[in-house]
Amino acid sequence: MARRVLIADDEPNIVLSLEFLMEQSGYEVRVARTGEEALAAVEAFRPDLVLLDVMMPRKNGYEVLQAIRGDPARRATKVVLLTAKGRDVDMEKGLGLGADAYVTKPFATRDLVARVRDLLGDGG
Amino acid sequence: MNGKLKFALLLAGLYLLSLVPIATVGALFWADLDGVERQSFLVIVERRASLFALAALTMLGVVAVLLRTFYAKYVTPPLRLAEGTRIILGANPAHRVTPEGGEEPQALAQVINAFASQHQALLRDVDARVREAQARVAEERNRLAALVSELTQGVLVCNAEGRILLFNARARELLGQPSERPHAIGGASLVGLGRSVFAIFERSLVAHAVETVEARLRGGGAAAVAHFAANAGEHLVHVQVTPVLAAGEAADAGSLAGFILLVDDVTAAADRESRRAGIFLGFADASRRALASIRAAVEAFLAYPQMDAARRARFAAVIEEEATALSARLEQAEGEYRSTERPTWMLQSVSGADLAGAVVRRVETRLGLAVRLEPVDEGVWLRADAFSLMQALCAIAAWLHLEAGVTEIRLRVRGAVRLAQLDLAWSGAALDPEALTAWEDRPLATAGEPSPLTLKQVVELHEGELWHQTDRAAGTGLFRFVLPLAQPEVAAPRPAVPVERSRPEFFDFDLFAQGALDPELERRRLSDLTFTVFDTETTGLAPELDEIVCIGAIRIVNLRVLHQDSFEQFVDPGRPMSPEAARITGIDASMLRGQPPIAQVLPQFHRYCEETVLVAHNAAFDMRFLQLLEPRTGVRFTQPVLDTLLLSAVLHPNLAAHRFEEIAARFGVPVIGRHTALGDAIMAGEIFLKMIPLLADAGIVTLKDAREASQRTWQARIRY
Repeated sequence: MARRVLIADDEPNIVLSLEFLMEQSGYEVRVARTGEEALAAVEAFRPDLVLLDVMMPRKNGYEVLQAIRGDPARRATKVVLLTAKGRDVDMEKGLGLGADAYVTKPFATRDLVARVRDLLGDGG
Repeated sequence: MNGKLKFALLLAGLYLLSLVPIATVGALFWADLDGVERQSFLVIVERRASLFALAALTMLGVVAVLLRTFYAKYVTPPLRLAEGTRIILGANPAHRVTPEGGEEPQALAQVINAFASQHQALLRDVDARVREAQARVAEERNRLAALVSELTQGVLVCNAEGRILLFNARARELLGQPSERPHAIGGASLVGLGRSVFAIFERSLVAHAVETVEARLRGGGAAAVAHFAANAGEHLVHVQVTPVLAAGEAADAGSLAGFILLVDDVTAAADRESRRAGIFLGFADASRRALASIRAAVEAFLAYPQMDAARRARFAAVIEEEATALSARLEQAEGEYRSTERPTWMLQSVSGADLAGAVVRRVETRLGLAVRLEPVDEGVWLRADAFSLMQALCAIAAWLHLEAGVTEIRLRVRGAVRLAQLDLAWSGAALDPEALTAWEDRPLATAGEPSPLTLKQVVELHEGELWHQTDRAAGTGLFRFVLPLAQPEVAAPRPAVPVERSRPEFFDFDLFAQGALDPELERRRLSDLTFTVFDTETTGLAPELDEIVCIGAIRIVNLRVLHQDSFEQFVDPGRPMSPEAARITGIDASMLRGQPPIAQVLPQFHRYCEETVLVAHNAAFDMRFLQLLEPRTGVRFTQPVLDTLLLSAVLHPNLAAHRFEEIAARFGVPVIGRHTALGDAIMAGEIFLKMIPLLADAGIVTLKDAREASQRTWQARIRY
């Protein structure tokens, strides 16, 4: 069965590429455009990995991350934070709150795909 | 005894003396004669009586003339010489004695004149030097005053107790207005000679900065200055604290004698800085998003060249749209950036160990809670506003303790590659993460910290981040504060010339000698104290029913009335004046319309007279009004109070007249502006100043003496 990836981001232009790339990599993809949608999708879709943008309307990425980490049933869900915030302190906060990876925009898509594969244990 | 009398007595003595040998010879002669011889001798003498009398008188005359000549030559001249010399010595160095009389006194007079000339030349020389030195001091003082007055920074020079000794116009302009109601106080500024600097800046802010300076001086370390930020009215100010050290040979030489505050208005700078940061961060953020979209699209494009035309067109559209938007955003950011200038605001380097120690001590003294400090990494230096950061950590500890009942808190300070981590970890309480998030927007003041900032603002000020992690099941959690590291501060060599020697002494620097207020206050001399002399006008004479309509006050510093540092404020009493009061004071309803209520004025007046001794005529009356206002205004006047009415009774217990005008007349104080609050306050102040030396003559020297003597007088029994 294909692994599931949830893309949570409110910018359609980046979602277009991410969705395409993830699908091409063989994952089953779902898209959420707000924090609340993302949380609902985590419950319904039960993704193995979430590509989570930090700046989103109605619950930001940090809050979504805290909710995921606060739910024992979702403990195995991997979270990759995608953010336009490049400060050291932001990264520290993301990892401190329990993200598995922190990727600063802009990024090399090849690296992102490799990172996702790695986290999902597909080995490439 | 004058010379003539002396001469007469001397002459009489000589006559008596010359009678003794004549009488003796006469008596022997008489005894040798027998009866017949005596008879014939008497006959001979009788017949020539006039001859004998003539001889005797001639002799007397010769003696008198001889004595007179001697006197004129040798007695009178030295007496005159003595008087003349005394004039030279005491009154007029240019006076010269006249040589007269015998040769010897004349020689003496010449020597005295020579000596006087030498003395005069010496005096003239000393005088010239003194004048020269005074001119030099005056010139230096003027140069300094000009320099200080021309500075664009505000300057406040304070003694160790925080009393202002010198200030410039800029300081008054920046800090003079109390923050609550900028225009309520006519004439009274928070900045004035002898006023407490703590009415302007929170005492703990200044104390912290001074402690920092002292610690650095002890450590012989880097530049001995400290900084803090504060609000002054609508201004955000940056204050640099520089110590003034005690000079001379005293045992406390090198200890802190006072400090200088250099005040910069950074409202604009801070504003500019945050605008610039906003511009840059906004642009960086937008660029990252746009580039991420473009890059992802391009890479997808390249990675999958076989994609269909429709998808290809969509990727191309994304790239074009994002690139165009990014170009526009760049133009906008550049324009915005150019409209700002360079900022001057900066944070300081603070050692992590110092900060942690300060937090532990503060939490201990404020909450009585022992925070366990884990070993601090040596060499962790933060870029921080130490005081606000410390306040933020203490506020979190206070909230954890007081609201969540946490009793075990650990503080950990660690340095990572470029970041420092400050953790406040707790155990023994399951806390709701959402409640903790809400703390970020709370003002620190709710934790009893004197600060206008919220936790979030402190975090932003430090360009840091703050978050919390909780494990509700285990009842543990931590607040983590990450912020950028600073370069360790390298101890600079001490300047070769000690700071204190190069500083000129000027103005009222003898105020440095003033001791700390309370408990020594009572023991201080009246002549050394700072007084606020005040008077109130009221709607009537019943404190329980009537209201204050005007407060007037002046300040006495160093036995001078400071007329320019006065306080006068009308008050809307919220009720009409009694006709009697209106007639006496000349205050009518129209003068009170639109004036602030007492609840606003009294805190300002309280601040005006902070740390001074209050003086009023018939003070019991005014103090009763102030006391009755306590519940309404929350302001308490706890300073000692002196009453010129009671002091007058102390000085003149036998005089019955202690009415204000009568006392004024007795002390020669002109009656002007009677029945205006400020006019009466000025009169009472002038009377009080004249009383101080008289009280000292009566053995009443200290504040304690004055209060005890006042209490003893019978009029102290009057209670309103």
